[in-house]
Amino acid sequence: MNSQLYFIAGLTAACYAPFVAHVILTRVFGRYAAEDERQSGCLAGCACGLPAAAAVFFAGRSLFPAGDPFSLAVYLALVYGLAAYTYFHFFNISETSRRIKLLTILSRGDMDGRELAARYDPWGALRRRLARLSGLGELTEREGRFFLARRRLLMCARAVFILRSVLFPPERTGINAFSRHRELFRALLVRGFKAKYKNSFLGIFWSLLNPLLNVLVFAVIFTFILKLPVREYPLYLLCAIFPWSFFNGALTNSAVAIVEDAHFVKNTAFPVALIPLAVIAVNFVNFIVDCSILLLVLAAMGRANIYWVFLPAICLVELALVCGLGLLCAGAFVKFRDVNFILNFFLRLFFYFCPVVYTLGMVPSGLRALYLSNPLAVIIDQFTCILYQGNAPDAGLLLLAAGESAVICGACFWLFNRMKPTIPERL
Amino acid sequence: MTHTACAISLSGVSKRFRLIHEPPLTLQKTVHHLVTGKKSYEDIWALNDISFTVRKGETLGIIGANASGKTTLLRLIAGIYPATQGTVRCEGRIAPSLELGAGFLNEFTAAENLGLYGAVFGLTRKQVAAKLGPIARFAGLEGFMDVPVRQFSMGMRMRLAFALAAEVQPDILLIDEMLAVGDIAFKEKCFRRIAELKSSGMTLVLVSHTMEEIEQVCDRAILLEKGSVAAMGECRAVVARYRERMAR
Repeated sequence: MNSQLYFIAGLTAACYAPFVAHVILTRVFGRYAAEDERQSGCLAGCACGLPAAAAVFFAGRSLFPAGDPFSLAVYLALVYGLAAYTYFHFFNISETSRRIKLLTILSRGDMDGRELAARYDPWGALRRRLARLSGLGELTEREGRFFLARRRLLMCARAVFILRSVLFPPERTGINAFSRHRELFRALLVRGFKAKYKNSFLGIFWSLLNPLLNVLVFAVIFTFILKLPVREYPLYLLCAIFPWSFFNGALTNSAVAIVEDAHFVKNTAFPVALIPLAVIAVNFVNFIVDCSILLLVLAAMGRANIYWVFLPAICLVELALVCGLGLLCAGAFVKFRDVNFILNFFLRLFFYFCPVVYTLGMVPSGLRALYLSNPLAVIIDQFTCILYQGNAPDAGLLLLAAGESAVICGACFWLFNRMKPTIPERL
Repeated sequence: MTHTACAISLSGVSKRFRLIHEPPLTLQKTVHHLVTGKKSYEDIWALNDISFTVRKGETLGIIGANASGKTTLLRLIAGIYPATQGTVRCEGRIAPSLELGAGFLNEFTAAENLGLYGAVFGLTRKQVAAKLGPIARFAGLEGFMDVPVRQFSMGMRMRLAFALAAEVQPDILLIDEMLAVGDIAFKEKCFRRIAELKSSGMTLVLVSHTMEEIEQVCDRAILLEKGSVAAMGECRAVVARYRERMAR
């Protein structure tokens, strides 16, 4: 049951991949934003979605080993192809039909613009459309004037326009604010990395050292002294420590970020949230690098499994959680300068309420529900479930954690927006 | 767009600050004050009912004693502070070069700092890279661009900051005491550049304690006194008024 659910979820996700890829291409990288590049943008989005479809194929192969791979491939190709085709025409259809009409007219022989306009017959096209619309009951005609009869079709069209505006910023904002802030975000990100690893020979691998040291200490304490009944305990620690160290590091660093950049915030006008978010992004990249190294090690040990495809989703859930909390701490620290002490205290306490040094299985069953209401505990538990035990993640728990993280993230963004106007003058 | 269109317009702008005694404020203190009912802050009005407009291409000087609200006014125009009352309206891209030189990151090279500040002003990486040469030349810092800013003198930082702000070519440039540290030769260079930018239609708001600077550069001036406009109009008259008040 669980595996079928996963398959359907994965397939649905893959069908939305062209849209997501297209949004990322236009809004994050600023590509294909011009009017005449939109179709190419659609196609590029569809191409970027292909790996997602391929991932669903491999996932499907291992979820249903008895199935026929060829039929699965054909099935997926059809479904993905149809989704991509629909998506492409979502943008293109009205444009294409007009172009086809022009080409059809021109196929009767070459002509100049006026002849073309005469044959194009705009009034005829208009009449046919009006007839269809009044047939559908969308408009009525009285004494040669047309009236809107109901708004059903109009509402549908508006919904499409709203969806399109996700991809393309409205023209009236001029050069869009997002692309301007993208540059700033990139600059802040680069600065974050340079500041972190300037003059360090090991560069980004420094970030590995701290969690590894923790693993070493815990492994010694809990295997030689406390003798926890966990098989391959150091490995368990390795699988559990990275989500925790990302949470810990990102929150500690982002809390002080705005105050450390006081000069910036006081003397220039830009979205202040970019500063803590850039700090979180630096930590996130570190986290991804650390995880990749861990995955390589696990793969070399022959522990690779198909459920690894769920890891990016879990990482994103944690990212949402950290973004919200980090932003809130950064804003609160501007007002109350003891927030970082409180945060450090809280983090140290919180560490023991997450299944990092012990497994969730060791928690008394009465407390289990309380534990699982903590999204970070679920994230760490699901990490170890996939990496250490090699089991499928629990879809229900993950959805719960994702929902909680989304709510926390949204609430924190809202709170931060309320603090935002007075941040510069409090610094 | 006519030449007389407004670049900046303020109407009835007031700004209230919450002055916190014995900073920094902490959660601990706040809770303590809540319990004991003691007030740990007082409200002060840094700006009171300020209204004026600046035309496109005009240069406005702001003068006044220390703590009269000059920098606060610039920050309101730049959109860094929200106005407590009234509205601030600006048209075009603003480059606020307030205390810019002091804000450079010490551990980073001049080029890296320019990249970051260029992004703050809304330039892309390519644009910044293309402007690095002209900026270095204007600031007279060729050969220093790969040196950490921590080794720069105050004058060098200020020159770099002004060169960047002038090179960004904003529609509105706000300058706060920036020319105070420069030597005579650089000042002359700055004035020439400002004149150039003015003739290309840039609006400039200048805060300065050097009256000669105000008289030389500005079309109009505003005298601030304890957050209110005490005089506004032709430079010479406003400066004379300021001198008179200071002498008293």
